[in-house]
Amino acid sequence: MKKEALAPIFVLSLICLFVTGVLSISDMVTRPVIDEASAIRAEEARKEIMPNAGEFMPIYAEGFPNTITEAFEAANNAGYIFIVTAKGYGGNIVIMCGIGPDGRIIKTMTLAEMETRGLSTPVFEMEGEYTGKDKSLEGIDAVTGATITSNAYMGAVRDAFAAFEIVRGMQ
Amino acid sequence: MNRLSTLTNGLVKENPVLVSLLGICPVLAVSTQAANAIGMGLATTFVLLGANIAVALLRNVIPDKVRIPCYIVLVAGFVTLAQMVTEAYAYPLYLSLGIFLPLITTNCIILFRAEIFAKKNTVADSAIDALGMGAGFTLAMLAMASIREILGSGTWFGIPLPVLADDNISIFTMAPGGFVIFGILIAIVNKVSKGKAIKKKEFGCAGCPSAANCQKGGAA
Repeated sequence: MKKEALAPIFVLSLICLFVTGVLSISDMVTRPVIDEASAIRAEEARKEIMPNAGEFMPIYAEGFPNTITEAFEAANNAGYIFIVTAKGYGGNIVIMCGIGPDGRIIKTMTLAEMETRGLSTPVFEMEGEYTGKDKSLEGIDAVTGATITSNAYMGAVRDAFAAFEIVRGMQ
Repeated sequence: MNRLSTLTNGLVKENPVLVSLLGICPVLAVSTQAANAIGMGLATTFVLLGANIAVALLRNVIPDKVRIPCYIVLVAGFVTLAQMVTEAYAYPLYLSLGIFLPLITTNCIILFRAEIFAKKNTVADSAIDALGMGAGFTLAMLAMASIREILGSGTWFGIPLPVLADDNISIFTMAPGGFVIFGILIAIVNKVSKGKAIKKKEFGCAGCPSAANCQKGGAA
């Protein structure tokens, strides 16, 4: 009776241990590759927004809207980059918003979204319209049929401006 | 049962998606683009192959009482491995599969083949079975994804097609379109096989295409 009860526990534990061992080895192999690739991707995305910014430094301040997941300041005062995660219609919309020292948008870029194909596409195609706008976002309209996506995008940009004001206020 | 029929079983007669109707969640979700369907199919085949081989290897060691937890741990191990490898070396694929990559763990095709085939057969036979089932899964996904991508996006493997690209029917890229295409495919399979694939009158053990295998080892 006792042996019958112990054997399954023993075998299952052994299998778990073995699988854990194999996975930790494969993690040791793949982790550096993954980390390096994601650092390169992040750097490339920042460069795309501010090609002549040089180095970026991560910044953080109290009072940032909680949608701001990361913020960077260009070392040569070329501007700030905010990564904002907003709630869209189909899931999170992650955008990168570059704001220059003059308070105007340099460029916005979508990093990830899961919005309805087709209906929401114009929202992401008109990204270029944000370039040069100040915090009033004058002239930006919501896309018909994709109001939630449009508002989420616009809200994300506004949150980036809110964070921008805080950063500026500290200096 | 000879090995050739073990291999071809998964393609047509016991096609996991269109006949057994298993693993439908990833089929409906990831079949919006043909390239993703191939990626998902290959990832699932890899896990299926690993799990079938491992279960067949350990079939005399694993106590019957804890066989399901043991299978799940093994399957989860292979899935995590696949996840690490795709994230490191095939990042675009990793992104497009998203949550459905880790969810291969709960793909019922894998548990089904472990329970119904691998635990009663040799390692070689189980590997062949996994390849056949994986190929059947991949082909069914590819068929569905091709139809959905061509009609819904007007492209195939990302290549824009004339005429269709200008007037795409975007509902086919969404969930309702997926269900419609899936239903039509099942109907076609049933029509072509003259109702042999899914026997309406014989729902239950006798009508199941896997009945021969399932009852071989006695009721568990």
